[in-house]
Amino acid sequence: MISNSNNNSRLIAKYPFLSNAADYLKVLNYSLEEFNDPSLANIIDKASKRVLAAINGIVYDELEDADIEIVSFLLACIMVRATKVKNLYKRFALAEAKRAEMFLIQDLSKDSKITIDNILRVIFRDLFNVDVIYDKDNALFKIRVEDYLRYSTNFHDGYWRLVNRIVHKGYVHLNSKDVIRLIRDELMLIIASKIEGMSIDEGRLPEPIAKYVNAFRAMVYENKEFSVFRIDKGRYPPCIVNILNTLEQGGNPSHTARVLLATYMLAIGNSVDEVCELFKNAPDYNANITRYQVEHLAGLRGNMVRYACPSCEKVMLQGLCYKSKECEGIKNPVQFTIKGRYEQRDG
Amino acid sequence: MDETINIVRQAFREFYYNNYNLIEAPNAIEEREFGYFKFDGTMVRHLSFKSINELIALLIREVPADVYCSSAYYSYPTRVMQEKGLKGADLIFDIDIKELKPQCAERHDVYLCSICKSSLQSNSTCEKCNSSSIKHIPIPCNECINLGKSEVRKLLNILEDDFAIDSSNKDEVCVYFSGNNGFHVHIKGRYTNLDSNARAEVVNYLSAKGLVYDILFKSNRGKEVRVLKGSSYKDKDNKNPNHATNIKFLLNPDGYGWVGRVSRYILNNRRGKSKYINNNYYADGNTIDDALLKLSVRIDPNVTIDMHRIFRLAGTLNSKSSLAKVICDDLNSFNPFNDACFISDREVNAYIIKAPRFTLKGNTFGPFMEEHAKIPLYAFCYLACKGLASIVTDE
Repeated sequence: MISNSNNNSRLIAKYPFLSNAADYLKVLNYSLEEFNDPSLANIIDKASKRVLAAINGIVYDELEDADIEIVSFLLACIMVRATKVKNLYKRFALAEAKRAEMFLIQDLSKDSKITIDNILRVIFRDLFNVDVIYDKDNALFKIRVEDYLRYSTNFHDGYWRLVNRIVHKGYVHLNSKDVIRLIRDELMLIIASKIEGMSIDEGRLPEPIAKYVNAFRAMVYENKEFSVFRIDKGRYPPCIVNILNTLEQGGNPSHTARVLLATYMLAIGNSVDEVCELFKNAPDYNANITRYQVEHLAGLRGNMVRYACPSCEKVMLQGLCYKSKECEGIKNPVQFTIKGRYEQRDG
Repeated sequence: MDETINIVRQAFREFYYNNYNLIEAPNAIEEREFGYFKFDGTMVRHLSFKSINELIALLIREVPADVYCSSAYYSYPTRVMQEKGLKGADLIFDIDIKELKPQCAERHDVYLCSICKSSLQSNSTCEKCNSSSIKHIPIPCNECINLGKSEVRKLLNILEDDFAIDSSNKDEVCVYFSGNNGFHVHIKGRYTNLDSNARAEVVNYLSAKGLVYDILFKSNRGKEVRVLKGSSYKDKDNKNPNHATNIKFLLNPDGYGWVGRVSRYILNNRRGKSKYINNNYYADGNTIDDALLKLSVRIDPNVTIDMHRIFRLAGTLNSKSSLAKVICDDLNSFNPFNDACFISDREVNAYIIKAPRFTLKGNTFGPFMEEHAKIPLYAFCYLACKGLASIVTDE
C-alpha cells in the first residue's frame, strides 16, 4: 500500500502540515478502512504516541520512515478530531508546532544555502507570506519590520521588543532560532485549523483507531487541565470580553492581555482559583505556572505587592482597548463593572 | 457669542474663503472620518466627504475652530467606531515642542489663572484669587521652533536608516507644522497596515523605551557589540537589567540600529580611544542612558498608537494660535511665524493681558502687560486664541 518515499517525503515528514501533505497521501494510495489490517498496527501506534505526547505536553521527536511519519501525523489528526475535545486540538497542534520548530532549527543551521532557501520558501513564504532573506556571510536572517511586528507583538518578553533588535533599512536581523520561534504559534494555528476543518464520521472509524479515540477522550476528561470554562461575559468591559473570547476560542493572548485579565478579575473580587480557571483554554496552559503568576499578581508571592488593574489609558496604549459607548467616563476597566455599565448595555 | 470669539471666527471664515486651496485633500478621502470643533466647544464627528469641494463648502459654512481627519482608512467612516471597518491608517508622529522642555520657555511662556485670568510669574497659586488652577500658555520663539526641527530631523534619520522610509519622497513622508507649537510627521505606504500593538513597538523603538543593553548587544551576534566573557549580568538587587555590574560592551560605530547610533555617539563624545564601555559608564562620566536620551525621539505615543484618533487636517487653522497646519517643504528654511500666518492685516483695538515680544509676518509686537493696543488682526487672533487678548469695541 505505502510506496517508497519521493524526494520530498523527508521534508513533508518533518513538516506534515504543508499544504501538499494531502496530495502526498493520494500518491501513497491509502484508505482509512485499510487500518483494520493488523499489519498496519505499527502506524496506528505511532499516531497514538503523537497524541499521547501532546496530552502530556512533550514533543514527539521520532523521524524514522518518512512515509510512516506522514501517515501517522494524519491518523493522529483524525484521532484528535474524533475526540471532539477542542482543547485537545490546540494542545496537539502546539506539540506538533514544537516538533516542527525542532526540525526547523536543525535545517536552518545547516551549511547548505540551498536547503535553507528551500525551507524559507516552503515554510515562510508559501505558508505565511513572509519573505525572509538569508545572509550567509553574517549567518543571520532578515525579515521585514512589519512582518516581524505581526508576530512578535504576541510575545511577552522584553527580548522580543523591537527596540532590543537590530533594525536596518526596513529589516529586522534575527538568528535562526528566533526566526523560527516567531512563527511557531502561527504554525500551531494552522495545524489546529486543519484539524478543525476535518470531517470525521466516528461510526466509520476502523476499530483500532476508535479504541484509541475513546481512550484519549477518557484521559482528557480525567485531566483537569482540559476542562472547559464558560463564563457570563455580560458584566465585563469590552477589553476583558475580547480577551475572554480569545481564550474561549483557544487563542493565545499576549502577556499584557493576560495581566490585564488577571488583575481585573482579582480587582472585582474573584479568587486566585477562579482567575486560574480562566486560563485553562490557553494552548500553553500549565496549572502550576498559571497559579504562580496569578498569586504573584494577587500579592501572595514575591514582593507581596498586589498589582492594580491597568488604567484605560494604559490599556489603550497596549492596544487592548475596544472602547464602546458604555465605557465613556471611566478611567479603569474595573469601574465598568463596579459602576454597573453592563446594565446600560443590556438596556 | 462673545465679541472676541466673534472676531476670531470672522477671521477664520475669511481664511477659509480666501485660502481654500491650502486645504489638503487626504488620499482616499472617501475612506476617512472627519470631525470638527465648533467655537462653542462642541464637537461633531463621524463625517465623510466624497470630495475636497464638499469639505471646503462645509468649512466656509460652519467655520469650525479646529478641523480633524482620521489617520485611518475605513469601509464605513460615518458609522460608530465598532462598525467603521478599519482598513489601515497612516503612521503619524506628533512632536510637541512643550514636551521638549525648551530652556527659553521661562523667558516667554505665560501663566494665567484659569479663574480670574490674571497673569502669574510661574505655575504657582494665584495671588489675587488664591486659585491653584493655572494655565500654562506656551508662546514659542524661533529657538523653540529650531528645537522642534532638530527633533523632526532625528526622527526622519532613524526612520530612514532603520525603517527604510525615504524622507525625500513626498509621497511617503510629509512634515507639517502643527499650527501651534509642534510638528506632525505623516508616513504613508508600507507601514499603514501596522496594528496598534505594532505602532506601540515603533514608538518604543524611536524613543528607546524598554531598551535593555544586555539583550540588544547579545542578540547582535559576534561582529558588532558583545558582552565580554566572565561578565555578570545582574546588579546586586537584580532590579534593573540595565544596571549591570562588571559588563563591558564593545562599541561598534559601523553597527546598525541603536547599537551603531549609541556607539558612534559615545565614541564622538568621549576623550579616550577605548572601544569598550565599562559598567555602563564612559570616560566623561556619561552613561549609555545619557546617550539614549540625546539620540531618542520624543513623540506623543498616544497619537501614533491610537489608530481611531482624528487628527488636525493640513491646511486648516489651529484655534490655539490661529496659525495654519502647513506642510514644511524645506524644514530648514521654514518659518511658521511667516509661512503659517494667513489672517488679514487690518487693525483692531485690543486689550492684552500679557504677552512677550513676538514676531508674526515679519513684524514684532510687544511685550504687553495689561494694556490696550492697536494691532493687526493676525496678531490679535494669535493672542486671543491663547486667551491673552480681548477685543475692545468703540462703545
